[in-house]
Amino acid sequence: MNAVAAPFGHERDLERQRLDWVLVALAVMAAPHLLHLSPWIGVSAALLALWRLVAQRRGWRMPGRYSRYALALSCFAGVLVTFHTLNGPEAGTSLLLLLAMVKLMESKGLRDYFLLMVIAYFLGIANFLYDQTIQLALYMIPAVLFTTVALLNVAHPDPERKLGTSLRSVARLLLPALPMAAVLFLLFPRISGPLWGFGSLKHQGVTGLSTSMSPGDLSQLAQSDEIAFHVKFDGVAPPRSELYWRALVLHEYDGKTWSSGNLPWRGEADAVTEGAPIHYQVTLEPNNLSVLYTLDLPTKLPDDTYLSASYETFTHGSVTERKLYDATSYARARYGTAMPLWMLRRDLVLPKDDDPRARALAQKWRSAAKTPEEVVQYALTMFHDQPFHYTLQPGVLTGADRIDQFLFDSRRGFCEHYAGAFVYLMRAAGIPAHVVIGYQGGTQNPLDDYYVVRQQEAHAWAEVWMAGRGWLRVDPTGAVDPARVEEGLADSLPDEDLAGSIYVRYPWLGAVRNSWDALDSGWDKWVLAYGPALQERFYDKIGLDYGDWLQLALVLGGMVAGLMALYWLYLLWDRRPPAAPPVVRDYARFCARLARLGLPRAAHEGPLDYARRVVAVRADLTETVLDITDRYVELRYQDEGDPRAFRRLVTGFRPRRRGKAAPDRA
Amino acid sequence: MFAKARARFQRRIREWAKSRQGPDGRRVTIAQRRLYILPTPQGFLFGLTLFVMLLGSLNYANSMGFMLTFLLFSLALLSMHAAHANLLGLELVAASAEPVFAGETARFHLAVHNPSRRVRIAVTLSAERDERTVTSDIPADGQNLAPVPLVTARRGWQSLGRLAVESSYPFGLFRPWSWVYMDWKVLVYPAPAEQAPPLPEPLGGQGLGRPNQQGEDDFGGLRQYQRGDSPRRIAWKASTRHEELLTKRFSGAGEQTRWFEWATLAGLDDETRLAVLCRWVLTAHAAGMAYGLKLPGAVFPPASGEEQRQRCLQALALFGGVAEMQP
Repeated sequence: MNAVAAPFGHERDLERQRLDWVLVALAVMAAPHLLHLSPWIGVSAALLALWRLVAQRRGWRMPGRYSRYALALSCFAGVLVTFHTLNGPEAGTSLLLLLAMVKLMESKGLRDYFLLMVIAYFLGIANFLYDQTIQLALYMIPAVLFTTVALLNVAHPDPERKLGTSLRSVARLLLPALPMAAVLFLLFPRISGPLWGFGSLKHQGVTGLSTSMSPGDLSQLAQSDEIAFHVKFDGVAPPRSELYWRALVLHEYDGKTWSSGNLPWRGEADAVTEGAPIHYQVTLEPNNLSVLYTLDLPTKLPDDTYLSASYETFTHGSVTERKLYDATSYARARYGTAMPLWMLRRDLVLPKDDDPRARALAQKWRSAAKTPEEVVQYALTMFHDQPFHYTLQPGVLTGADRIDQFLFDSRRGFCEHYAGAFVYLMRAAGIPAHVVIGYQGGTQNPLDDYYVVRQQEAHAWAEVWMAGRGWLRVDPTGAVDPARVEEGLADSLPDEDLAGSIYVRYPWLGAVRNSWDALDSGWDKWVLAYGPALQERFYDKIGLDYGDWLQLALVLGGMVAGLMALYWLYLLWDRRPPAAPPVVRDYARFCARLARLGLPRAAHEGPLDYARRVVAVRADLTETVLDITDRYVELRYQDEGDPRAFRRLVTGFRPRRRGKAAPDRA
Repeated sequence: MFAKARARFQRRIREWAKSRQGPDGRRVTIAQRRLYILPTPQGFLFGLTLFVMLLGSLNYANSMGFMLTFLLFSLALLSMHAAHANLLGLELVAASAEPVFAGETARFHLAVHNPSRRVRIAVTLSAERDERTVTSDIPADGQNLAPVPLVTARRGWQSLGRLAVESSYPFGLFRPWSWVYMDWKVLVYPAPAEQAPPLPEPLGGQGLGRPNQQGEDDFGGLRQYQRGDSPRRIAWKASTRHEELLTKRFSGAGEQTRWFEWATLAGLDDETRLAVLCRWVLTAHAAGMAYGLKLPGAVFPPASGEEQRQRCLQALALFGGVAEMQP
């Protein structure tokens, strides 16, 4: 049989302790993974662990070899079905966790459990592939502490040992390890670029800007409090109403959804600029798009990016990691004055034969107006004067003729509805127009000068093309509800449930959020972004040559060795001999005073012998010496008497040298 | 072949350690110069893990991955010092080792003193020639008695040989150890024969010229029944009172003396003779009899009691000037 026989007695207690602690370690290290892995993985792992725990308690037989093989194979199959691969961080961690549980089915003895401990640490570090937030780092502190306590108890199980004892032992090692880890973190040479390919990380459920908009569906995005990006302006920041962060331009409409359409045409930076340039630095959170956000309208772009004909800023790959870039924009700038007609044509296309009422309205405006500008004005006036209502809960639009439904029936909507309907009307009136999506606004954090732009500030507006003037920004939402543009979403919606509105109602909460954001962006900038570039600056600051590996090795090795030596001194101090009892120390003082008179106590000499010898030489001290000696013997060997009285006696004992002529021998 | 090379290597290491440490007395302090340390297999596995973690962190340019890797690396490195300090300064004092019969496990009792303010954890002692270990914590400023087991094979003096003191506490990544070569022996009696001839009959009147008296006249009390007691001597009435079989003892001048003689066992080989004699001594001692032992070159006059037992067993153990067992 392959079954592992249950050990008996003491040995069994040790095994049980090992198992319990290994499960603790695996649980705390795997817990964050369960939030983003398929539920079946967590459930299966928990069930296997539970079964093993009960089997240990009840003395059940472990599954045989073939059952374990079958279990392992089904784990492989399950992961393959779920992720379509065995590679990559997600499939990898799932497989690691499940196979650890299979291993648990046959584990016994130090070796097996130690292997499981190593897997626990691996699962722990894999957490950082998904998330490197302060929150996770804070979670990992106790997680590493308890996993290391588990390691101690797996290596040296002792049923008598209390949790507090283990915790203290581990803390005494972890605390001195921190400065050494910090030194290694700062000085260990980083490299730029991966050693091998990145496994693809599917950011499931990541909220961010969507690349299309369907005004009929409710937007969940507007409710999200998550940070989209941070901005730092060089010099004075533009007013909030001018903070239009451009992301994508939507050209195509199919009666329901606005989308970008074909691949973007490359464009030239041909904008006509006016006023002063605005320089700023953006820290972009991963958006999983290949687009960067720039202030309307960018003129100078970060490296490795290109501009589309519609002034979208594209990167060559998706932004899957936090990205930092500098850009320059002009608040008043126009582009596309010389845009060819064939290019403008796609911004005039409408679905065939829909929304008859909107088309009729546009035709009416077109015949009434002398210039395209007047048509734009008609539309804005309509939004402003008619009972249009800005709301995040507009109700769902279904079926065909959605623009008509919105313009003439519901008249409730948010930016997407207004921008979409506006562009539709313009195109129907023969004016090239398209939707621009991005963000509008931003909140300054007074603590670090950074502007924070959150997902809830996602916005959609329109651009219309006028011959000779190029593309002009028109924000129809501003016509309905100017507060949305000037003061932000929270002020425009005082009665509606909005993630951010609580901060307006309770300003101190806003202050807390500001401090947190400052901490978070400091964390991003200094801890997470610490790579070759920052490291080079740090080397510079402490006077190291970047690239002089021998010097670096000497400095790094020296510091590690120094810290180890310090720890060694601490260990020696910690293991110093115990202090003598106070009575013995007092008696030693007494002996020292006699030694100064030339009567040192010999190593072999007992207190009574010593007293006799002293008295024989110094008869004048007989009374005190005998008194002290008697009391000492009583205190030390019979545990009788008053130690404080003894101390007073010793303190008061100040024998003088006898006259120099006095012979030492009696 | 690999095993052979390994054995040769280990022998050379042992000789090197022995020559640089010198012989040990009965009291040994584990000082810096006699404390060695190496990573355990688990330590190597942990190191490999850290290396993979480092590669992963480099590949993904993952700051927190670096932090955790470096933290674990520092932890492992410091645990080396901690493991070393866990043994440093301990004092081993040879306490006692009681004689055993060949084939039994001898226990060398060592007092392990910890003259420091910190408890020493999972201190493990073992003799080189025995795979079993004893492990215990040594309290701060205290001591613990460690009964180091050593299996015995044959009679004579058996020396403890090389003693290893070790502990991979705290994490089992590093194993510091110290070798102690105490000049310490335990007496191993011959293993008593499983099947021995019956005890020789008492030789009436021949024992030291004592007159043969009626041994059953002087009642000397009761003792527990042992196999071989004559049923006639069982005190049936007393036995029912005490719920166990009791045998009447007869003492005084009437006690019979028996001689266990090497010469009477002619035809058996030496070790078997010794085993039989050993069995006889044990049986007679257990029965509280007086007995004498005659070996070539040594005569132990009849007596009873613990001293006689020890005298006789020691003579049997060391018969023929057996060579001392050396590692």
